[in-house]
Amino acid sequence: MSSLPRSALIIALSLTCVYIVKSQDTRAKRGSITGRVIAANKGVAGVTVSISMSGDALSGGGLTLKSVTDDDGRFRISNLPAGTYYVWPFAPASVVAEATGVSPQGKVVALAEAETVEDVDFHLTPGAVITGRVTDAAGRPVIDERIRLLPVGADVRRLTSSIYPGINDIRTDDRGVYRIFGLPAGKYKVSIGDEYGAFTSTKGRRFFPRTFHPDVAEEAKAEVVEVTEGGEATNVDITVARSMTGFSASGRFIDAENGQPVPNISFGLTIIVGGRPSGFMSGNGVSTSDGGFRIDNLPPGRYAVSILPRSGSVFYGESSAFDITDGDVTDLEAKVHRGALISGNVVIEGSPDRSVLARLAQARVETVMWAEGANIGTVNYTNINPDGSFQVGPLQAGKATLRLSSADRNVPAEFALLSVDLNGVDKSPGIQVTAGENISGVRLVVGYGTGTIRGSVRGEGGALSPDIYVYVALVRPGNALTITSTRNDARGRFVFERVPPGNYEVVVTAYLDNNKRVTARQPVVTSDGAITEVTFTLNLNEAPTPKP
Amino acid sequence: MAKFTLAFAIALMVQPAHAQSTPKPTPETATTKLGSITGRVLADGQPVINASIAVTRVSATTASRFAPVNDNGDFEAKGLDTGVYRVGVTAPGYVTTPTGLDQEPYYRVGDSVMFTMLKGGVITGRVLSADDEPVVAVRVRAIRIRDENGKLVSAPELNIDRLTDDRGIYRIFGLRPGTYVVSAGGRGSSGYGVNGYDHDVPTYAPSSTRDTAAEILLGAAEEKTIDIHYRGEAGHVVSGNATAPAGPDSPWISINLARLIAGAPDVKMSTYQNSGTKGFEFSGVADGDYLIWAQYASTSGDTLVSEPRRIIVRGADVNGLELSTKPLATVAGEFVLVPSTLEACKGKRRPSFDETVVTLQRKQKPSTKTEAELPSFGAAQVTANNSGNFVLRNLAPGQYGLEARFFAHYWYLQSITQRATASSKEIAGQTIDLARSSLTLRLGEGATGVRVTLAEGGATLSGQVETTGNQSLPAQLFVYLVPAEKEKVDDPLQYSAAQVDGHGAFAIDQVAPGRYWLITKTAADNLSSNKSLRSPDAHEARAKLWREAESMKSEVALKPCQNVSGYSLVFK
Repeated sequence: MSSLPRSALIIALSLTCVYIVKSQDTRAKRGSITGRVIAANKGVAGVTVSISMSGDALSGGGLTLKSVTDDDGRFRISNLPAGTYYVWPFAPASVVAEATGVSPQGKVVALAEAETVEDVDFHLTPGAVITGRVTDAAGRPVIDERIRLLPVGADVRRLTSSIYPGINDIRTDDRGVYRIFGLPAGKYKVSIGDEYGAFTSTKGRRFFPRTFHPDVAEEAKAEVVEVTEGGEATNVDITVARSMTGFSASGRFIDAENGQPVPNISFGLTIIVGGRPSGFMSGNGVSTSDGGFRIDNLPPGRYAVSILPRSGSVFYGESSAFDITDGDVTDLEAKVHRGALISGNVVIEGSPDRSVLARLAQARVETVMWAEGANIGTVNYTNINPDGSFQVGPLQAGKATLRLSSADRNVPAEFALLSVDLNGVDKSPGIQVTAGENISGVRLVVGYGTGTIRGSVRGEGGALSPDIYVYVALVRPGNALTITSTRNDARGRFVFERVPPGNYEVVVTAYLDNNKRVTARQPVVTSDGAITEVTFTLNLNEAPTPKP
Repeated sequence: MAKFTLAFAIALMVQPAHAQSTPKPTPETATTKLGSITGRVLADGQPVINASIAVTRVSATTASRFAPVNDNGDFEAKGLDTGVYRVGVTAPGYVTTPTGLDQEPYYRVGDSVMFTMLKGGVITGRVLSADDEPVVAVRVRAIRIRDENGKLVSAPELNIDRLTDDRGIYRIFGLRPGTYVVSAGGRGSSGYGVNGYDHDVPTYAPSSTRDTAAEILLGAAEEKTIDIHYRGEAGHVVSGNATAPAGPDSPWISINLARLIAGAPDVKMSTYQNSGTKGFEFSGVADGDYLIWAQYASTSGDTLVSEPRRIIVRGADVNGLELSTKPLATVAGEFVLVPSTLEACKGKRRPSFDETVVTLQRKQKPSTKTEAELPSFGAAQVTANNSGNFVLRNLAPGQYGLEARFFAHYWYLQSITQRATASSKEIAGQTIDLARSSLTLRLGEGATGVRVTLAEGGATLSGQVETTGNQSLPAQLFVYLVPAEKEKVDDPLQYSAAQVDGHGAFAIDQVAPGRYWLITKTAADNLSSNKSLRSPDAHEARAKLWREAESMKSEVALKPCQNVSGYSLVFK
């Protein structure tokens, strides 16, 4: 699943927004999704069931349409254009058996034009409650601190994804009291304080040493809290030691070319956990007139100070990693370099009319930069000039992956990126850049069209279990670039829309237990306005272990 | 009103031994020496150890530095460049004590700041359905509509949404003293992802619309229990399309819909334009009057907004609104320093541009049924660059008074002017006095040629307000200087205000040389700083103050660079 790190990054960068499904083409025939919300074999009345369009749900906002269940627990959402949807009941005090453990939550439904998909059912059980109070050694309440809940056991972990609003949003109130509800029955450990404490401490807050219920630092010694279905565990209290202040890291940004200090650089902090950059936080300040930087109140740990991406600076660079143990770290030196530039042209395949060319203004070049040695990419967006030319940069040394995205972040792109090349060489996996380098002549070939590819994936013995994740990618024969991708819905179906005319391959990959996967591919030809069907029958028993 | 008379005046010019010691001259060249701002945070005399401090430089790049407090409540923000800073404090569950001053304090490297905090108030209660079942995970927010003195706040303050738990209980803490309304449901100030009540009309406590919402008076550390019977009404749709001029940035336009209560903007909801042509849509809009506007922030730091439109939602949807955004106004100008050749002014510290701040204060329009204006965007204050130039960006349309603050005792603000440009109604080249008249800014327009003249030769005056017998000084006591020379009566820059501290001491600096009348009184008409006293709009308040001071007949003459100390006033 090579696409996962990238999509995770996009989620992290997306902001909340609402996208309302609106009629674009009133001639299109509409479909419906119906189902039932069930608890103890009976329908549950008054549950709000929301539906959001695929892609939109990733942005975190998108309640698009909703329906409230009737007395028999049934809901119906009508007047839907064809597309891929997420359907989810809003039942925060209950556990939803269909919780997938992945975001976006919900059942995926690939809806064809004028189709009615029935029996999109959800099963609720009463959620359990864990509540308690957090106080410090002096008996004072610990206010507005995040509580961490560790589910013990894989099954419980999947279902905790149905906790609303999220497992990371549990906080103490002004009395130190917290209350977690809607929990699946099972075993849990509860703690306060964590290894990413720098996220709040460098904003000036004191931090607590990680402490598990009732008052232990080691996870192994934590008292396990067990709750039954609909049960309540009370007095799950935590006593923490006094809050602490951290240490400071200070140093200077130095221009690698001339050794001069660099003032006015917006910098951030990279948090390194287990030898890997695990978090990046911005807003730590601007370098002083003598190039100095300083971050106060760092908890013990490993860090690096780096220039903020997209800070408008022509520089990039970071300090080497340093450790905060029991004192301030001073005289750090962060060598900064001038960034590289990539320029090129966006070319539209075929001979599209002028209205299509004009719409290119609504697209942008999205650059994901993978700095050398970093496993967190940074995303930049660049506008496309009316003549199709673009320039990306300044970029740090590393690998730049160029893609096309919609200028309006909350709608899917109208254009499909078909290839990325430099002097005829496929560069879709990324372009290597070095400091200060200028690379020109990159070609992004895009297509525009109205074809639809619809398909289904089944096992040799019959339907696939909806629990099996199937990744479906659309590629051009002989080109590594994934033009677009989706996943199987609850019925094993998928759909690609707005496909430009041409020859393609659909590649499906089913992810099975034990880290095994089965891949199959089929050629597909599509043209404007056409709907092409493709069916995959997978032999799940011949699953090779993937190459590392 | 307490009356004071001037007992006697000493005009000793030689003795500089007063509380505010004469600063040493500072070299003109910028130094790279860094320093600290220190301070302490207390509540009820005890350190507030969960406080965090944000130190923000007043400059184009408004990045903040953060510092924690130690076990004694002390903090130190180290490694700061020379400049002017704002210092703020937050602590979960606590609020800052209101200062009563209308002028934001600025700090410089080397300063020490004392914060006193109060335990915040709490509003808690249950949200119940029509059949008394708990409403679970609905967003609830407390909206502060009046301050602790019962005065309407100019922009209602929304606190972070809190969700009800599985029993329908919510708890909002850390609230400032004041008057609140509480509402449940609807799209709130913060996104928690998809919420089943997002598209409902908010239900206000006890079970009301906004117009009939219960007003909850909340004191410091007070806890009130407020239940809400949730109505879950669907409301109406407000929709339309917003556009932005084509530019280097891809517009991501937000649309704001603010309820108007008695003509003033109340709580607002926000959404986004979906794509270039696909429009925006609000659902769950209650009947009422609204102000709607679009805005977006370009990556270059400019904010674009549309002209605000008033709409009325009454029993039906409002569709087809067209909002087109234009850049907010920019004001550009310069500081001019006029040194003195007088012997008395020799060796005095001159203002440093990086410690010189210009602030635009928007005139508060009276709320009317027919008029409403955009809220302010961003901070309307900036420091000058090394050559004394300044640019203020992202200013909402309106009328502004211009305020300049600098650090140099023996300099004074001589004039604020603008060279009229050809596009303005006045004849090009004519000079407008911005001390006496407001600066009018319109959407998509800017103002250039603003000149702030600082002259050397300011005087300082300090002393003591004494009491007779066991009387104590009232709080919010001020010493005012008003011009005794007839031709200067209309010049706002000839007026000065200084607060009398708890020990009766006062100090006024940066006073233009001349003859003045002195008056000491509690801060009537909200004239609690030079900012409000010198506002172009405070004409009547100044005239009233001048008449009172004239009748007191306590005159003082101040010469250029003179330091008058030991002035004594007796409280009767």
